[in-house]
Amino acid sequence: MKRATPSIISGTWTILRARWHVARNTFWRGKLIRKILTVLLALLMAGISYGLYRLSGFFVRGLQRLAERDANRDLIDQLGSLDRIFAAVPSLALATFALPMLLSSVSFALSTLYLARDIEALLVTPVPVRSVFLGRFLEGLVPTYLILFLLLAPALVGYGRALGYGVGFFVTLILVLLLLPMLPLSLGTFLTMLLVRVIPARRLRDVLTVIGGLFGLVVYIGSQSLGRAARNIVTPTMAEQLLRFDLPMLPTSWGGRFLIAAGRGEIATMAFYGALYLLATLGLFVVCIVLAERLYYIGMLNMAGTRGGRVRQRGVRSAVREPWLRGPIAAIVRKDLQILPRDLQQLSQLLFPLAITAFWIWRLLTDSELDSSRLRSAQPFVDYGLVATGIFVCVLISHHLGLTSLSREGKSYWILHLAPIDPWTTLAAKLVVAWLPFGIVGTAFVALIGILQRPSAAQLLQDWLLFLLTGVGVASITTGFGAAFPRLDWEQPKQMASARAGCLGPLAYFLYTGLMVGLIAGASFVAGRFGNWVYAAAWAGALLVTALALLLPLMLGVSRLRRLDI
Amino acid sequence: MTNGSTEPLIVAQNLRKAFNQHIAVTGVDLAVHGGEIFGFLGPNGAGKTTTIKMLIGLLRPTSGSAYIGGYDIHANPIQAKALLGYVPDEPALPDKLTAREFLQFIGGLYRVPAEQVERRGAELFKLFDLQSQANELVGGFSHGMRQKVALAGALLHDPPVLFLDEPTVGLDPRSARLIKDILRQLAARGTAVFLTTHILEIAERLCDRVAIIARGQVIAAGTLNELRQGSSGASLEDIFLSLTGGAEYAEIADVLA
Repeated sequence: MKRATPSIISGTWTILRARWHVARNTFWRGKLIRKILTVLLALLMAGISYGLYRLSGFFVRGLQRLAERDANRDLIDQLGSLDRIFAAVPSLALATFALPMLLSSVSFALSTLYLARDIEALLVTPVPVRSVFLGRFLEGLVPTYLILFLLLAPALVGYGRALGYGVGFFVTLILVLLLLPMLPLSLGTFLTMLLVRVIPARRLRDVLTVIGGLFGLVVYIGSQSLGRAARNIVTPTMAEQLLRFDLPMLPTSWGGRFLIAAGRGEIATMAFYGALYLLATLGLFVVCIVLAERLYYIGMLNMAGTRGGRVRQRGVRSAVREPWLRGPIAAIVRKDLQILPRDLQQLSQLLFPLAITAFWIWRLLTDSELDSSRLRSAQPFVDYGLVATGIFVCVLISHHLGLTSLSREGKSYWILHLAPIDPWTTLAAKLVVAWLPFGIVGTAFVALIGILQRPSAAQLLQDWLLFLLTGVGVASITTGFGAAFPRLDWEQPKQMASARAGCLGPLAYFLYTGLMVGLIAGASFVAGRFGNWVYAAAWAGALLVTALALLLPLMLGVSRLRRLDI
Repeated sequence: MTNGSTEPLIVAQNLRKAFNQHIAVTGVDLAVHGGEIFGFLGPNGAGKTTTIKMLIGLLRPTSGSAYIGGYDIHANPIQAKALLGYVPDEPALPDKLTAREFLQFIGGLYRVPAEQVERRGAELFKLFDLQSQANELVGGFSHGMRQKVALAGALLHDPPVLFLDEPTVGLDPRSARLIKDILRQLAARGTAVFLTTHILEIAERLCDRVAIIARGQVIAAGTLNELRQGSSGASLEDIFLSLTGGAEYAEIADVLA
């Protein structure tokens, strides 16, 4: 019996309409506080947009006024030709926003086209595969468009108005921004559809997460290293730097020139660059739609074959027999430490702070600018500078381990909630895991301080105790806040930390670590004047502050866990 | 079929749960003795899972009390939870643990000696035919395999009270039969088994007593014979549908056919 099937357009419209219903219901049926926060956020974004509009116009008009005065000739020579700068601004702006889109395009394709929960349900319906592809792709563009039209559009509107461009500029701007995400995201989508034919989507996501972490690390190390190298480089004029983004071969430059031509009323140039821009942005997108029928569907079929993997059991049986490794706390700690290295997505969250740790250790050991004899003469300032650096690095790692301590359990938290253990026991185990960076990395840092500066044994012991004690406070703060504001319904690791935990936790632990380092470092500075009793007083203060940091957040967490319904 | 134990191991007293303005469950009173398999039946959305979660402490009741082995689940949670095992309808297990590691984790939480974990774990893997998958990550398991792993975890500490939420959904006939046989053996040894299901055939063949819940209220409770009284030999399905208001839908089903 033959039945009518929806066309590509009607199928796409059905999918988009369903997504609109979900968004609308999420807002209308959400809690009042959420609605209020959403409205406030919208007002804030509107304010930022208006601010960007006024700021861009202010800068353009300001530069124009500067250029008119002969007194500013030196400054203008440094900047380069103002006309060329203004002409390059749209290309620079478009490239600035297109680059992150390109870098995140594979991740975008994976999350919208392959790993969304309802994708399988959509694909078994008699809706063309291209409709599913198109619907999900367009739906995924919404956050991108929000960013473009709230941030980039007002800035370029202010720029256009300040330069006196006509209405053609503003109409063209809308078209350019609507098409901007098409090229980078289509490129990523096309690449993803090819990759997913051989690598299952979930595995690809895990690999990408690690690559993303490594990329962030490379950027960080590069920025640290370039800072020193840049002193020796002749700085070109600003115009020359901006013109690098206005290369004729870049599609974003075509978009920029399309805009400038529209603003100036240059019809022929506008038509030329407009056609190039349309071809570049829409061309690959159309290719993706055509190929989706086959490539996308094959990729989805591949996902069914993902297995969990096998683990060789080494020494676990004998380890569990050890008395101190039994009991609920040990069981939870052991479980967390078993899972962490196997979960690429969670591990990638730690990759950056771990790599920063290694980077700083390497830099401290090899930096030729650090003269050991000069370091010794500058003690105790340098001492506590290194300690503070080490504590900061440990805090970076502990931040993730502690704030997501409960959230990491996700939907399997019911196992802990059902077990005959008190919430204090659960949080004690999570605190141990969050403290480990201080015990391991902190000890490594103290050893490094010992190698570099050769302080007295008493000073070294003091530094080590400071690490360990500060670790207790930080771990308790992160664990307590993580338990007080858990998110157990996450789909991706980056959703694990709730906004409240993410804001309140760092505030509390930065205050705490500042107090701790300040107390102990302060004692060293004033001991010479007031006597050695200040050390005892400082350590007593540190113990008291740590006791408060230990108890209060954990009490908050325990109270929340007792009221948690699963 | 009770096992001589006089005090019930599971007691619910006037349990009530409201989510904002919506009353999910109200006035639930029941008692289950050791050696008994108690079936909690109801249509979808009737409040079965909400009731079971209140009994095991995963959900706080709006009012009322629940007792496990004489301990109030909310006033004395640790003592009460040490006596029970639970298998959810869709067991969310740590994906990155192997089945063996999962049992070791459960053993640690329930303070089961390591030797017992190993011995009992081996027995349970053999029973559920999971020996060859013991060192595979749970994340790669099918629903049925996860169900078996979850059941192994629930039985590891040999609890006197066992709760199962829709235990046979998604299982192949062999596995479903295995679970039914296991539940009968557990009841014969004195365990109180509380299971929810909407598959009436399971209730008819397995349960000593049943309660039927609809729209948050228990509308009937007793042995199958007691429920059949006055219904002149009607099946459990007929009794269920007449009580929960499903009989009239047969006309609609005819129209759709």
